[in-house]
Order: sequence, then C-alpha cells, then structure tokens
Amino acid sequence: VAASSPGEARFEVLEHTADIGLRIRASGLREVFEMAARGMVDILGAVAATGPSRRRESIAVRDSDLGGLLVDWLNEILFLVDRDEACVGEIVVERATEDEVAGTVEMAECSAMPDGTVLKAATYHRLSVERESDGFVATVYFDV
Amino acid sequence: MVGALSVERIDEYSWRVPIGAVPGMRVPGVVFATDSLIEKAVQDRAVEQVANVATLPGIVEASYAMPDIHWGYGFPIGGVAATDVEAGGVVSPGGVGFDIACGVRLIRSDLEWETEARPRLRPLVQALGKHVPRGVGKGGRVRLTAGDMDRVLAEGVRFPLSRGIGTEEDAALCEDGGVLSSARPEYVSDRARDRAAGQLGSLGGGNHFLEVQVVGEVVDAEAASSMGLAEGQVCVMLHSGSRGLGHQVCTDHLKVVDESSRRLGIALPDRQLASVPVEGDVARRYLGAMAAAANFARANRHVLTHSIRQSFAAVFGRSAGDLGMSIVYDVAHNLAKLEEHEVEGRVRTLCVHRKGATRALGPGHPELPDRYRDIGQPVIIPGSMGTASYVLVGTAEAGGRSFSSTCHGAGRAMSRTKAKQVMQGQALVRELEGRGIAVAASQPKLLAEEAPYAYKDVSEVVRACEGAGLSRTVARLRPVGVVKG
Repeated sequence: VAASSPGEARFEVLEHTADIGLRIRASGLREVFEMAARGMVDILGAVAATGPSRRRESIAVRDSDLGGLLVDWLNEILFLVDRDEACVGEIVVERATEDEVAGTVEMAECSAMPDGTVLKAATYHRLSVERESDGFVATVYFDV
Repeated sequence: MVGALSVERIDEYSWRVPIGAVPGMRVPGVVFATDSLIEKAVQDRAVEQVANVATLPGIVEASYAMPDIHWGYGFPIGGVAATDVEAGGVVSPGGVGFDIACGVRLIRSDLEWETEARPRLRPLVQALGKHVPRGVGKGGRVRLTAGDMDRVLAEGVRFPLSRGIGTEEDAALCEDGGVLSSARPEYVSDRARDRAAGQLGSLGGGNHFLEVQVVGEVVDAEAASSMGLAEGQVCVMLHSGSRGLGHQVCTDHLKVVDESSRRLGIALPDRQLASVPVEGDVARRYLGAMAAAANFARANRHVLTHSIRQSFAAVFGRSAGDLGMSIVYDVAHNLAKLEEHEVEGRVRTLCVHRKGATRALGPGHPELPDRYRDIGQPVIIPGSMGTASYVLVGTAEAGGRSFSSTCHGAGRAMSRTKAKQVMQGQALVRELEGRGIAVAASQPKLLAEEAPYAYKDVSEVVRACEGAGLSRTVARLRPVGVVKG
C-alpha cells in the first residue's frame, strides 16, 4: 500500500498484523519529519479541511538520536490531536538536527469525525532513520 | 521445524523456541498453540518476538506466548514474561503496552433472550449507541477536575462509587477489587491528565467495543452457576482500557526507560523492549504511574457499566437491579504485576508482564473473590466481532505452566489494510445485520478493520488453552448486538 505527495519526499504505509507503519523517503531531515507527520495524520484521517478557527502549536523535542526524535515528534502531534479532538493542517519543520527538531503544526477543529485508523502512539519497534546516498529513509510503527 | 525460525514440539499444544534461536536468549520460548496456530505465529514473525523477549535480564522459566499470539511491537501480542526482581529482573513498559490495563468485563442479566430481549434488540442497541460515549477523543461521562483525577488515579473504582455510581459488589468482582494500591499519581504527568480529562466513561476506538450477547452453551454447569450464567440469558461484554491517559503514561515513561536502558548497557534485539531493573527509581516511577493508569482503566469500565445499565433500564422500563445486571468479572490483559510464584523450588517475587494475555488464577487462590474461590478466576474472552465469545476459568495447573496466564481473545490474522480491502464497512454492517446482529458504529468505514475474517478462530484458541491446561471452558456466548467506536 503506498501513498505519495508531490515532490521528492514521500511516505508509504507498511502492513502489520495488528498495527501499522510508515516508511518515509526524503532528501533532507526536515522533510523526513514533515512527511512522517503527514503520513501519520493521513492514517488518522485527521487532515484539516480548509476553514477558519485554526491555531499554530509550536513543538520542540530533543533526543540523543534521530529515531528517538522521530518518535517524540510524532507523539507530540498525537497528543495534541487526542487532547483537543483536533485535525491537522499545515506542518512545518523549522529546524532538524541530530538531536533536536522544532516546528509548528496547524491545529483545527475537525469538520467531520476523523475516519482513519485510531493510533495510540509511535513506537520504537523496528524504528530506523538511515542516511542514504540520495537522502534519508525512515521507518516507524504505531500502536493501533 | 516450521518456517524460518525453528520451533520444537513439546506436546500436542506446546512448542519450544530453543535458546539460540536469536542471540542473547536467557531462557527458551514456549508457545501454546495447535499445529495451525503455531504455523501462523511463525509466518507472522511473532515467534521471533517470543525469542526476543527471552533476552530480557532476569527472565525466568521461559518467554511464553498464548495461543492467540500474533505480531506485536517489541513483545508479541499474547506474550507473558516474568522476571525475578531479586536477581536484577527488569520491567519493560513495552511488555504492558500503551493501553495500560485494557481489559474485558462481562455483565450478566436476568433477561431471557427469546421472550424478553429479542423483541427490543434494535432499540436496545440504539440506546447503547446513544448513551455510551465512543470513538476517538473525549466526550466521556464524567468531566474530571484536577482533584477528581488524582482520586481516580489513586482509588480506581472507589472514586465513581463515592459519587453514587455502581455498587460495592461491582468493585468486589473486579480484579484487585478495582483498585491497585501501588498507584502513584504523582508520577502521572500533567499531559497525561490533560489528555484524558474528559475521557472517563468512554469506550474509545480501534478494537474496543461492547456487545450484547446471549449465553449459547454452558459447558461447565457448576462454574456457570457460580457466575450467574445460564443458557438463553442476555449478557453484555465490554472491552475498553485506560484511554489517552494510559497511552501518555506509557509514552512518557518509555522515553525515560529507553534512555536508562541504553545508559545501563542493556542489549536488546528490539528497542521497544527497553527495560530497567525493577529495583530502581526509574522502574518505581513507571510501575507507580502504570498502576495509576490501571486504576483509570478500571474506573473507566465501571462508569461505562453505569451507562450500559441506564440504557437497559430505559429500554426495558425496569431498574438495572430489577434486571439482575451484575458483574461476572473484570480482568485486564495488558499489565505488569509483582506476583509470588515458585521457580525451581523457591517462591520468588516476579514481575509478570502480560501483553495481550489474561491472568487466570486457579481454584483456592487467596486473591479470588469468595464467590469464585472454589472454581477459579473467571476469564472473559471476546471473539472477533460477530462470532463467538467465551467465559473460561483459571486452573491450578496454569500456575506451573504459564504463571497463571491464558489467552485474551481470538488474535489478529490479517492487517487492517488488507481487512478493509476484503470488504467495505457498510457491506460488513449489512452482512452482520443479515445474520440478525444489530450494529451501532460511529464510523462504519472503520468496521472492516475489525471484521471476523481478520481474526483467528477463537474456538480454536480456546481449545488450545484448554488442551494446554491454561484454562477450562465454562460457557460460549453469541453476539446479537455490536456497539463500536
């Protein structure tokens, strides 16, 4: 099963017996984190429709490695979606290094109840963020 | 030998994964399964996960898996692992999972299906759909203040009881009396509290559900009688957990455990198995927060029970008491507990992880309510949506075979993506309705993820548990109404 977005960065939904995963390919680290968040929101069915009543939430996470950063970043967004029963609009990663990611996520009221797979958390299972000759490949699984 | 990872038959219903199947195994793996279930478990990579769990420091006897085993994240679903606390044994939050103390509760009634409930089935399912908050996000029955939340985390079902919700008997028929006294609310973050402030008394999405069921067949009349179950009688089975609170507790503490685990140089084949010695501050904080989340889960199912009783009372025009709506039992299938077990001739304190496995105490166990002292602990096993469910009872034999553990359900056999490709949600609703099962689903599109064909045969799983001596069958229930998030 694959989904893609225009441009270089893309995500692919990975099959799992009980849960679900994402593989992200992107040329740069910022794009890895943006595309992972988009993939997760797509699985949730929580993509915000255009409209008013939006607000920007700043997210900054620190960890000692890229895999840990990816899990932290995605779990921050999941926290906001679950706490506020919100949908997600624009996702912008402003800074992504080996031990820090910072960005903003546009949160909006959902126009309809999200109709995707409910996710509890991003996990460390088979987690990887690898540097390749033409960019990065990341894999992350979620608990459903 | 089956598939890529070698397993050896021990007897008709158990299989050994020998030490060395993956590097670093400290004990063998033992999977309880029929021939066809072990075949699926190997193909599914779940047996590899059984072997991975066998690398945990301090693990004793074996890394066990129940017959509903399937691929999880870190631990297999259906995994049971016990570590010796005194010998540096670890606790692994991944061995509990994100839905801490997710569990099942069975509520019985005096209603007779054919004559009393069948004519009112559709309004009943509609009432349940209306009164039971479900689906993603909040919208629980009780909006908690900060003080209330502290009490739920510390007191479990005692908090809603103090507000006049439910009965003392409800608490007595819940595992641990509905409250784990080891809870430490101070280790539950503000974020976890915020995430779940409005979620108490809500079902949630995913595989959570409630079903109206009919006792179809009684296999053990004496045990069924102790549980107040008889053929033709209406029951409600409820599957829900600790909602966003448990998810956030696991997320918060897993990050700290992961860092500590790596700092301590604990080498593990899957990072999600991150673990720390039980006798340490990091573990103490996690176990205290985990117990608090377990109290939230029990309180959640307690408040949901209130909504179910109100729905029945509204539809049948009699109080829940008049309808005989009492709890059969409430038991978790995602939890780590400090328990005493005999290992190599000596009683030791073990940290027993059950990830998609149910505690199943045998007759005479001191932790059982008086009502069940002679028959053993009831175990509630939901089948896949629209198929059969079972009531089992724990055995003395399971104490020595699986640290008193048995299965927790049918076990998935197909990914969610594939399940949705086989049949669309609306078609599944029509199929269930065609079989006389009333359905209330807030997101019918998602229903196909939980379709019966996505799961193994629950009857085969239950048969394997019985064959392996882990539990005995008491009754088989069939669904007549399904309410999903």
